[in-house]
Amino acid sequence: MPDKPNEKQAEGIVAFLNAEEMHKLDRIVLLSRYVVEGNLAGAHRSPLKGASSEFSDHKMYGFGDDPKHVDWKVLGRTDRYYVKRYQDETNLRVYIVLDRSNSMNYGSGGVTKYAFACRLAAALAYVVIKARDSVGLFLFSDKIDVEMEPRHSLNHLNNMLKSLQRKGPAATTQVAETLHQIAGSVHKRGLIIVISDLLDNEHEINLALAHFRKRLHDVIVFHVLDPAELELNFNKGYEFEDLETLERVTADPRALAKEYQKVFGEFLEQYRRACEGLKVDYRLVRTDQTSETYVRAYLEERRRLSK
Amino acid sequence: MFSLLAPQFLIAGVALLIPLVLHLIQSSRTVRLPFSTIRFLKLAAKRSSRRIKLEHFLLWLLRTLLLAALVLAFAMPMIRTREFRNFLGRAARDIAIVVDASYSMGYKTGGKNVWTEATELAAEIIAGLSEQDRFCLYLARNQVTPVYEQLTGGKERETAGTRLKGHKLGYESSQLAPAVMAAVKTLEQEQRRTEREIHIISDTHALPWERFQKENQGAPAPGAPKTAAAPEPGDRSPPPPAPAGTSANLWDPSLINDRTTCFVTLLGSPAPENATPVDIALEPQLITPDTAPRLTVRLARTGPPQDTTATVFVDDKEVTRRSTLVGDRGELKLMLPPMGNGTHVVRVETPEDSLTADNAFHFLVRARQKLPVLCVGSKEDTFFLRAALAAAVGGVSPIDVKYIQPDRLAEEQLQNFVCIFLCNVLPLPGQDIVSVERYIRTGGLAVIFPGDGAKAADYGVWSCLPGTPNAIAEIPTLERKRLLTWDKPQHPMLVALKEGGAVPALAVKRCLHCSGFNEKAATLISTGAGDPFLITCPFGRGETFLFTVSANRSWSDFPLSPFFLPILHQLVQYAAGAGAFLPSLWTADALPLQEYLPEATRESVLKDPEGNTVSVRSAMVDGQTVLHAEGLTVPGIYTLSSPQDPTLRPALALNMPRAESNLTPIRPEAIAPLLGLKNLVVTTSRDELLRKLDEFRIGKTLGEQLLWLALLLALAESFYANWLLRRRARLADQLNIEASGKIVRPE
Repeated sequence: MPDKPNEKQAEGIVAFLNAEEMHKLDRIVLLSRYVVEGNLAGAHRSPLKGASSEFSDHKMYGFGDDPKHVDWKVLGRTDRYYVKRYQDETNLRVYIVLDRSNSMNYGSGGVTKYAFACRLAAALAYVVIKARDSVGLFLFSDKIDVEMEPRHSLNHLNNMLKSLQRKGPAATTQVAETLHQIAGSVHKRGLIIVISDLLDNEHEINLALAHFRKRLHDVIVFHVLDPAELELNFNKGYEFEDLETLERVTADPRALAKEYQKVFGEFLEQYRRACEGLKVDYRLVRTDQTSETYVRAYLEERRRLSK
Repeated sequence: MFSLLAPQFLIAGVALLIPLVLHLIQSSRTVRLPFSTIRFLKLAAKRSSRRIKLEHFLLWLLRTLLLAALVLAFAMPMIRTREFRNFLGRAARDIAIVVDASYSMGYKTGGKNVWTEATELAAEIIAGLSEQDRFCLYLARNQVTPVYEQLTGGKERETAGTRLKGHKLGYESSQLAPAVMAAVKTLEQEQRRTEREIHIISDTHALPWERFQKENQGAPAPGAPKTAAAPEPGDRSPPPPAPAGTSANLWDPSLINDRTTCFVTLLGSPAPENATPVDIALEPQLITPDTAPRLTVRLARTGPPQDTTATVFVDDKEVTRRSTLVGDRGELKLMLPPMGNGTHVVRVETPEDSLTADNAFHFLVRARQKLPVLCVGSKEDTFFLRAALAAAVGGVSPIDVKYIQPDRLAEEQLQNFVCIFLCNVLPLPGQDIVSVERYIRTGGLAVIFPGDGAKAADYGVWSCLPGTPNAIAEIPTLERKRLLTWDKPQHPMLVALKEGGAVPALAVKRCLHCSGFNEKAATLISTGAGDPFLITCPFGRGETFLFTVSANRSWSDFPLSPFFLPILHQLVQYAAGAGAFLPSLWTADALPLQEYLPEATRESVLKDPEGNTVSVRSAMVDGQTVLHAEGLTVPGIYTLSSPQDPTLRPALALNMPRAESNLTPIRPEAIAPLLGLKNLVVTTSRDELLRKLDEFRIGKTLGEQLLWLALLLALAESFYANWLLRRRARLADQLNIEASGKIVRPE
């Protein structure tokens, strides 16, 4: 698998997942923790009443109701006509919101955060497609660069991943503003997967996540970070250059590491607390692991918790 | 008192800038590294800048202190503070002691001579050493005499005084510089000790210090003082010993490092006085029993001018005395009474003073009744010669002539004759030639007359001739009339003849032609037209005279001339004066015996003035036995005896060179520029030296302690720097991130 998604040797899903990885991902599903609004019958709970086998409630029989749904046992006890209603089931609409700002282009171990984020997105999208759910894409930097409506075909998945390949990291980032924009554009309840390093104003970003929750979306935040960003484990002094602002600062990481970790820990803690309060599934993802293994571990845990 | 033993290492103090420079270089040579965001870096830097500065300062301080400790350790600071005597203790030290053992150290002040004071002081210095200290001890004589050549300590400290007292004061001059250099080399054999002392104990005599000045100036070392004190070149004295100041022991202050302190102690009187007979001269050279010799005594004095009396003893009986005012130098002329036939022991004495060793000057006077002369040749050839030599001057002939045929030459003891005449005796057997040449070399005089018996080639085997005769020339009749001319009228042999004033004329029929004259040869008389008539040439300590005409009438009418007899008599007189006998010699370590005592054989016994037998070493040189007497260092009369004649006969009169007798003192302030040493302490008394030693030996170098401190600082720096590097905790561990990416905060 190439480190950078825009390499030309392979395109589409095969550029991100090999056969073995796809085989392993075949058996797991991504479930929403909340009710979602799909457009097809599926395995996920819908806010609408439908024809599934799962009983929902009773209602007074009215004109137009199918007499076969009259609950005869209730009629016998109460001498009133009630009909039984069942929970509707629909498919899941998953939106992958992926950050392509220049800060995502950083990678200390040969894999940039953007490359890792693309693989993560590919693995998740593949799982969604295999579960016959729909997956869409928002690729953003300081604005929405690519927007693809959710669909559930493999062709769509391939097209989506090609877009990721074509668009490398660029420009500065406006995470919060863009997330607000995305939240406003998604009307039906679905699953929003945010993949970003969240290197922006954390308060604004938390507000944007709250915006998603207000629209009753199930939100997962994958906070992609390089190990060096976490630890600042350099062994000599450097002149650090900000990838987005191109600002520079000379520092000795050996002397700064402790304070840096403290500051960075506080930064992460703000996201963790905010997401906990918003019931957003917040996950810290290090780029020094394989995306497929991580996705399986994550989905396994999610499946276990949803039972 | 604080001092540095090796301050040159302070130059390494520049290294203290290294940590700062490295820090600056490191700061300016950072590599650019793209990073996702510097927001947190800036925030962290802002929060921890004070802490980082403090850490950097502590690291810089540790590293600078480490380097400073190392630099100081190598510079070896020495703290000598009386207040901290008990705390500081005393460093172990190596000391070298050089004691002047020249005879001027025999100068008495207050009933004790300087030598005794010096040896007691040396013993006291050694006794004051601690158990860890070590010492070596040298005596500065004409040659360096080691008492303890290697660094030693322990029980030797107790016996050093006794061992030192076992060394007697000699009759030599001293050379301090070689002894000090020998001591320095001994100290240099041990590099471990940090402190060293060199003690030079001498009198106030300036002479031994002159060597330091000369060698400091890079001048070639002069010979031993004997050479300086040796008589004029005309005097026949034993060759001086090889100069002791070789390149190996030339004074070189650069060999003495800054850790070494030199203590010079000048004992004795600061203004010594001394009078001594320096040399004598006897006239005439030929002394007969009825001659009253004229004696000239040269005197020297140190101190203010004063009347000095010289008393002359002949065979231990006072014969005359005379006084004169002597300043720096003086001279006395005395008339000795006529002495009987034989060798007489004569002594000139000055009054007893503080330095008694040089008060007497010994010499021998040999009075001869007749002068033994050997005449070799046939009766015909020596006819005129015999007549001339037998002729009486004033009634009795002073010459005792012995005639022998040439074939009897080997049987004669040639050294018994003052002069040998060889008349037409060539060619001679090789053994006889060797015998004659040895006789001349040891101070004899040979007069050679050619003759018809020898061809020109027969002269070629002789090496003592003034030139190489190449032909016997027949003079044409018309050219035979010749006038003799005095080519060297100032020659001692011709001086008396010239006074006659008459111009001699000769008829020369035949003469010897010479070519290739020896460079030392001189024509005394010539026969006009540049033809030599009498040629002379020194050979060894003797001389050869060669006439170019024969001693009979066949070659010229010289035997019939009125000049024949006076020339021959003058030759004998000259031979008697210029003979091998010398009134006195200078003391020496070795003396070629046969050169000065031709009568000595291997069986002879030579005894010094104290009655000890002098060692005589024999060696074969060019097939001949050469005798060398060794250790002729005691001044006085040496006697010789042989198995055939066991009577002890005075043979040699030896005197020590008198340069040491000039006791001109040196000022203590003049020592420092002479030695050119940085750490020098000059004292003038025992008490002053011991007091300064007591002050000097307080304390020790802090080099070792500073090295330990440097080690501790190095460890501290290492631990601190590593702690700074390794103290970083891992944020991932603190956050407790699960495999699914969930952050589980610890309670």
